[in-house]
Amino acid sequence: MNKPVKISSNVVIDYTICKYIKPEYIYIPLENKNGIMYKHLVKEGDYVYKGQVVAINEDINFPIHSSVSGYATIGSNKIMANGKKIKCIVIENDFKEKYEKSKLIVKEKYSKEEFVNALRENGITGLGGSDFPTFLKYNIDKPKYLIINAVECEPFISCDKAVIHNYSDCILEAIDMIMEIMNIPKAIIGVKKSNLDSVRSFEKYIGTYPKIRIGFVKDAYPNGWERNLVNDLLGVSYDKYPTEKGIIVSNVSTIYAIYEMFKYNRPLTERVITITGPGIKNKRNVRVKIGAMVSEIINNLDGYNKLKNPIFIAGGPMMGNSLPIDDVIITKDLNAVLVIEDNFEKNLPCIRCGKCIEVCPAGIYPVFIMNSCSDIHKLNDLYPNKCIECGLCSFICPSKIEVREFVRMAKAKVNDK
Amino acid sequence: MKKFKVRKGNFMKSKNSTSSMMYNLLVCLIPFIIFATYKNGIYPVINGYGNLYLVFKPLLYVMIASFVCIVTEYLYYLVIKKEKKSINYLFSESFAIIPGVFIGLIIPINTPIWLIILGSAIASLSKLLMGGFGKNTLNPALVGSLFIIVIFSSLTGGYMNPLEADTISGATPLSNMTASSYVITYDNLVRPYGSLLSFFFGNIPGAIGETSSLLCLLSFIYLLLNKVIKWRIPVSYVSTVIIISLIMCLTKDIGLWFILFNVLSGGLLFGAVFMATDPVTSPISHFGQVIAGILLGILTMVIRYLTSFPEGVLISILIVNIITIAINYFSIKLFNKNYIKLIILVVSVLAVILSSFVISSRVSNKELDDTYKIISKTKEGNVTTYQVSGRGYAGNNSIKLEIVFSGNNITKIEVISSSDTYMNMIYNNNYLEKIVSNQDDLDNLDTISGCTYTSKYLKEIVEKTKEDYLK
Ligand code: SF4
Ligand code: SF4
Repeated sequence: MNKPVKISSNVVIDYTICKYIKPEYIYIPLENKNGIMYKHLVKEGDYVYKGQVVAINEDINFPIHSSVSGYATIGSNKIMANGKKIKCIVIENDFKEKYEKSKLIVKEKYSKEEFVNALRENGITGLGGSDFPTFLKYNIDKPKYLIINAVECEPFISCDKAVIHNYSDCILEAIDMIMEIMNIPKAIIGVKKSNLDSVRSFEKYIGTYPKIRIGFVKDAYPNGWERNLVNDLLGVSYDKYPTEKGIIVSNVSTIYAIYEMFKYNRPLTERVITITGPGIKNKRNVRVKIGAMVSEIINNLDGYNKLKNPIFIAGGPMMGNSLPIDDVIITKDLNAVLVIEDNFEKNLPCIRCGKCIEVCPAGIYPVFIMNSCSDIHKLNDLYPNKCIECGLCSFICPSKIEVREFVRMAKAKVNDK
Repeated sequence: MKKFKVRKGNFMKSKNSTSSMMYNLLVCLIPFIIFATYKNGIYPVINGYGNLYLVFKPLLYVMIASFVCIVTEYLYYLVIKKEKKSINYLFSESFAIIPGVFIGLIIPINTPIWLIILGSAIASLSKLLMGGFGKNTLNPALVGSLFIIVIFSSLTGGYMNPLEADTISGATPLSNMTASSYVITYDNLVRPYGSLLSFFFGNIPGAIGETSSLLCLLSFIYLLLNKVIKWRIPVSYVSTVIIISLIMCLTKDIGLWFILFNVLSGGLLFGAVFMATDPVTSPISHFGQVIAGILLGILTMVIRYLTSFPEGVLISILIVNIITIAINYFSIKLFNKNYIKLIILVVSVLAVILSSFVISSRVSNKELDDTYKIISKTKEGNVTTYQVSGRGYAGNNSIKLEIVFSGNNITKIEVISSSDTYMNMIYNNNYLEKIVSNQDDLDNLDTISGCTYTSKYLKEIVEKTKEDYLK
């Protein structure tokens, strides 16, 4: 396996979380970033309670909830973090935060089935960025390890660190409860070695939980990638999903969402995102409603700094997407928004230095894929679909070539066929 | 709502850039230019050889070659492509200067300037015709310097600076070895140049700037730490040479100094560190780089020992440049097929072993047997005429002489045939006449510098004939 790469970012923001949970409208896209369609369950003009199921993925019976209460309309197209314009359910916030009555009952004890079912019913997904429904992961027999991914390796992003800073006790409590319900013998929290703040936050409370320990990973990218994390902490490699080996990997923010589910029996309707970059006046971690508009939140944070050629990135600097406008829906998988100056160097011809091969965590040959983009037979031999789009090849390339975009193209080509 | 520019790609770039890589390389070459100035200029001048021009020669060569490369590239774009390229483009985007600097360092010190201009222009053109920076299959510096060294070898004027020409017999260590029919003895290969330390520090005849192995090692470390070069190539290259030499040592009962001799001579380290690792013309995948290194090792040793070219480094790198096309092609095919890679690796290691046995059969570890022979002896009255043959610089029986005695003395020596390249110097120095006039005191007759061996062998043959005559 290739060595991860050290990437330093010099933007520091503090870990207090400010709240902005009063959006005027929320938007619920009817397709997620992986292209899975949702069926909407409300009609134009319906009154929607907070936490009410408004759309559903019928294949796995996975719901999406409204994060506010108010009247619904259907049909406005809005942009998502991946740049796609998607039809949305729009809910006009009446700021009453009205819950359906049934939602207010707090459960004291969960059996395993109840727990997995609750994860589904409350719409909990991986908040690290995968948008993978969490209940699917927990639905396994005899899990051996629970790994909590607190690595957050992409530079600039700090929402997980902020969550840890503020709620490390809640997170540990949730982990303990999950271990008890699921009967998992051991849990490891994977933290970057250099991330002293998170380590301290956990160490304050971890003494009372003998079965949970902190595992360190190197401060390098992409060590927060599941495959690297599992390998670093346990020395285990797997084929497709870690659940094959009885390992459940969850992001810390997801664990915190589970904590809130335990505590209030409420669906996932809020998350913390990082809003940062040289183009943002007030760089903060903000707790927001899922479905709100990024533009509204940035305006509430004193707006933008003047930059010559600002670019707006949904996601981190390595894996994010540049978008043409800031009217972007906050979905569960959006962990950061970045506004930076576009001062990228012009690219030179590929000098065949092989550095992209050296860094690719998927172990494929980006430069060869790039050079054989037009030759589908060669592409088939090179497995472009193993690419995890981490962007390291584009990062490392001395000629500043956007190698990943070529690999993406190749991926699409191979998948099309 | 605010509008933004859209940019495809990722948004964080590493600090390393192609230009920093290229200029790191050039920085590494500066000590070589300084060393070359010292070795070929300052040192001989201090010792009373040559003049001030000699001091600036290495720097001058490098500058001329770089200048010609830049101008050629500029003109090429202007005349053929009808584009006016800025200086900035030539320096920081197509790196026109690089082949020039290399050419200045890997040609013989006596190369005439017009030849350097021609070679540099060809180097630059070869790069441009193959598609410009990043697309060339062959290393332009290699094309240019081999053009000078191989095609115009007779015009280069040799590798020796004036001091070396006067004090060291033979030529570069490797041509010395080729010329002495691969007699592998310490006395034959190393002693004439001092010791292996001179090899290590670079105080031996060779191309202008490539002789210092010490500097090569230091640069290697520097480039490795800065992640500029593909280190697998030099490592597997040098290891292959070491393995082949080791097997030769073991099978032919040669001392282990021979390994160092092979590694430290012929600009091998310079080629391995700087020329073989040129990113554009070397294999991309790690496995390919290892294979390329092994091939380089085999080719270099084969060229050194089995062909009449003494120096194999540059040629083998050029050959591997061509093979690289295939290596890159197969790297794609063999992605994920580790067992085939393993087979290839095993085969190449076997090839290394096999080639070392073939090469060992060519060398010997003893001084050549004395093959002195009297072909005919005719006596007419007082005058006896011998026709004899004996060992020469070019091997056994490579010198045939006619020696005429009358009374107790030699009256005439004539060369009937000889394949020694240095025979001209014998004639020019009237050495045969000198032998005749010093015949009673041959031991004290000085050999001719520049062709020590030939003169020594001549004396030997004459002495043996005399013994026979006086019996
Ligand atoms: S983006 Fe894809 S191809 Fe590039 S380094 Fe990451 S995994 Fe490899
Ligand atoms: S890192 Fe860039 S220059 Fe180097 S081989 Fe890959 S694509 Fe080419």
